[in-house]
Amino acid sequence: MASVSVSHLIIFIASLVVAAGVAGTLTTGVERVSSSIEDGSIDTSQQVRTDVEIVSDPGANTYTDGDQLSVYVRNTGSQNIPIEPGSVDVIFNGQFVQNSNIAIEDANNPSNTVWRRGDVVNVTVLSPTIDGSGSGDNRLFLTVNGDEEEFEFNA
Amino acid sequence: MGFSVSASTAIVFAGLFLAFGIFYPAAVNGYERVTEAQAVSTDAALNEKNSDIAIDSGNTNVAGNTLTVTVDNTGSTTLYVDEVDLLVEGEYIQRSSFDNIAVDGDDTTNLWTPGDPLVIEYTDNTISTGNQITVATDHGIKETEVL
Repeated sequence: MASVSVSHLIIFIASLVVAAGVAGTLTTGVERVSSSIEDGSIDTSQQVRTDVEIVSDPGANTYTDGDQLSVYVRNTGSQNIPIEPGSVDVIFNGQFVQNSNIAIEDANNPSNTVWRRGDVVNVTVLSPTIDGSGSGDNRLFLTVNGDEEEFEFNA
Repeated sequence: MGFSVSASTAIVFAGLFLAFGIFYPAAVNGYERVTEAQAVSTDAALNEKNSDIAIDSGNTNVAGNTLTVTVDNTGSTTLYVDEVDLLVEGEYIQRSSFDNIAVDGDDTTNLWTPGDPLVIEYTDNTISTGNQITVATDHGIKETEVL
């Protein structure tokens, strides 16, 4: 009779261990998914809030071969962006421009490190290869936090 | 046997409750965060459609070395004086280097209300007739004019 009670006790403990294992695995998994959802929503909301516009004048005759290429970009969204070369991705005439070849500073207050709404930054491509021969058409593609802007000019 | 089934069911259900308790706030917060960002973005898009500016070419000229630019707010939203940008021949002019910037003769206000003209005065000895100027404001709305 005692052996029945012992085996019942063992089965009881085993069932509790299995149930606790299932519950633990479930909560760990759900916690991981929830944390990803939080991170994903932060990224998505920042991308939705980011909006920039290139205010440079493509008709101005300031873009010539051998010069640095400067474009003025205005933050028109509601997302603050750090002023550093890593914040912008630049593709000039189909070539990716490395961060080390990009200089970026606030056009009104060069010591500013945060690009707020309404602020204009000067994005300079150091030693670009501006196509001044042939058609002279050049194209700069700027991406900030998923927001894409295009600037075309004739050199 | 009967009790162990009930006990393990209770533990699994407690785990389910806990999991739901973790998941629900994360899902709701994430949803609200994205919805709010979309609402702000939609508002900005509406304001952009309602905003417009036009350079008054009759009152935009160069006298000596002083450039006078008159821009009308032809939209239906209020714009801000300290967010107006001027480019001369593609070169950005710092906002702090304007000689004067006034809305309808008032240089103390920061509000550029619909229908009012904004006058920017800037002195530089390199400016001459034939230069191209660009005025840009909120939402990236810009106008270009040849002097």
